[in-house]
Parts: sequence; structure tokens; C-alpha cells
Amino acid sequence: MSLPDSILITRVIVNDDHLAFKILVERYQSDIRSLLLRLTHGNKDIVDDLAQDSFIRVYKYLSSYNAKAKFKTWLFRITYNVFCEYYNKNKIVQLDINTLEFRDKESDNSSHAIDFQQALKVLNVNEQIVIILHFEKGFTHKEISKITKQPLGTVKTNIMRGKEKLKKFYNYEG
Amino acid sequence: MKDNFEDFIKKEISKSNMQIPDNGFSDQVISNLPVRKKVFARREIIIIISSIISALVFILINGVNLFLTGLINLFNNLIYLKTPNCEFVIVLLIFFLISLLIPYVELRKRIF
Repeated sequence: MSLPDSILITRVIVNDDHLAFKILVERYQSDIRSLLLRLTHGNKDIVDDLAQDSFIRVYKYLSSYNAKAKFKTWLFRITYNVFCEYYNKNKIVQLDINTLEFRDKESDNSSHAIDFQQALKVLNVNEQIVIILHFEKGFTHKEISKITKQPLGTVKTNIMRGKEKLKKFYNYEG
Repeated sequence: MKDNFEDFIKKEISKSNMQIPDNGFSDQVISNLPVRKKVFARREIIIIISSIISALVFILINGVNLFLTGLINLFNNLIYLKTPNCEFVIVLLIFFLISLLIPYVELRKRIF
């Protein structure tokens, strides 16, 4: 039987229960590491360090977590902050959409996985995060606004712009 | 309105879906957690010391007696007041509310 997040969080805050925190880490590590893997364009060397930094920060500030908000949203917000700090120190290269060779519609399906990672590179960091959170992680616009601290309107605009760039990258005609 | 491109994107993402196995990552995180007990201990020590001091002062100044006499005087004065003193009652009410508010805020902080 899996315990809900709220009980595990209470155990960590009240009893400093490391086992409860380990369950939380196991529950969310895949989500967090895959998000960071996308944002760092597959830089595996740095992903685990950033993910570990995020979880340690969660542990440190868990007593300030507001139970009214979803834990997952709060966790993603901390991870995004950790990523932003890393990004500001080491600018990640963004590709110019105009210089890219766009995907041929006839190309085989096996290249899709590489394509999406490649496709993300044409987006700026604000567009990348909203596209990943919305389409891959299934967050609502409002939740994305909380995670990224962007106004709701900006989130919607970034999703729209991101979609337009991806359409161009995939040479999509709908 | 949801367009076809959104479905297309979701399909593309699901093709490159990344489920990352733990592979000892959670153990690594747990072994690197900072020590938090000390912070709690320091806070508890301050609370205990201040409680002991306040209890000692209470005993030294014969607090029970003072408190009871004060309370009796207060009620006597209120009962035998011929003209009700509104200001006095308001001040009393404010102090009463503050005395309720402080433990409420402290309890809320600790529980939530």
C-alpha cells in the first residue's frame, strides 16, 4: 500500500523520517530527472547533480511547504529554480530555427525520439519549460504559472509560440 | 480549442518517453541530506529554559496568590461598579483576545 504524499511529508517534518523522504524521492525521481534531462538537452553528467540538489532543497524547506498546494507542483517549482540557477551560470545553446534543416515528412519513425529532443533546442528556455510541463507532464496553465512564476497570460503565449516553432520544425501542416 | 498538433506533439513525446530507473539515486540523496536535528534541538532548549525561568519567577513572587487576588479584585470591582466603565471593559476585552490569539497563532504554525 502506498502512502499519500501528505502523510510522508508530515513524517519527515515531525520525526525527520529519512525513510519517508526516500519514498518521496523514489516516487518523483523519474519525473524530475527526465525534466532536467530535457532541459539540459540530454546532459546526463549534470542531471543527477541538479536533481539531487533539488531534493536536498525540498528536504531543507519542507517545513515551509504549504499543504494547500500540490506537492508535485512545489517540487517542480524548486527543480525549475535549481535549473534556472544552473542555466544562468552556464548558458545552454539554443539553435536558430532559421538555420535548421527541417524534418522531412517521409522520414522514418525511428528518428522521432531524437527529433523531439532536437526540436526542443529551437525553443528558448521559457518556451521549453512550458511545453514540457504542459504536454509531457500534464500540468495545467495555472500550475505552470505557479511553477515558473510567469503570469498566466505569458504561459499561454509561450505555449502558443512554442507550438508555432515546433510546427515549423516538424514541417507540420494540419 | 485543442488542435491536432497537440495530439501530434503528445504522440512525439510518448515515443521518446523517459522513465528513469532509480538505480541507487534515492540512496545517494538520503546519504547527502543535511543534519536538521540540531536546529530543532536548539529551539526546544530555548523553550525549556524560558519555561523553567518563568516557572521559578512565578513561584518566587508567590504567583498563585497574586493571580487569585488580582482576579478576585477584578471581579469585585466589576460587580460593584455603579456606572459601567466602557474603556476598562474594552481594554480588558483586547487583552483577552490577544491572550487567545498568541497561542492560536503558535499552534497553527506548529500544526500546519
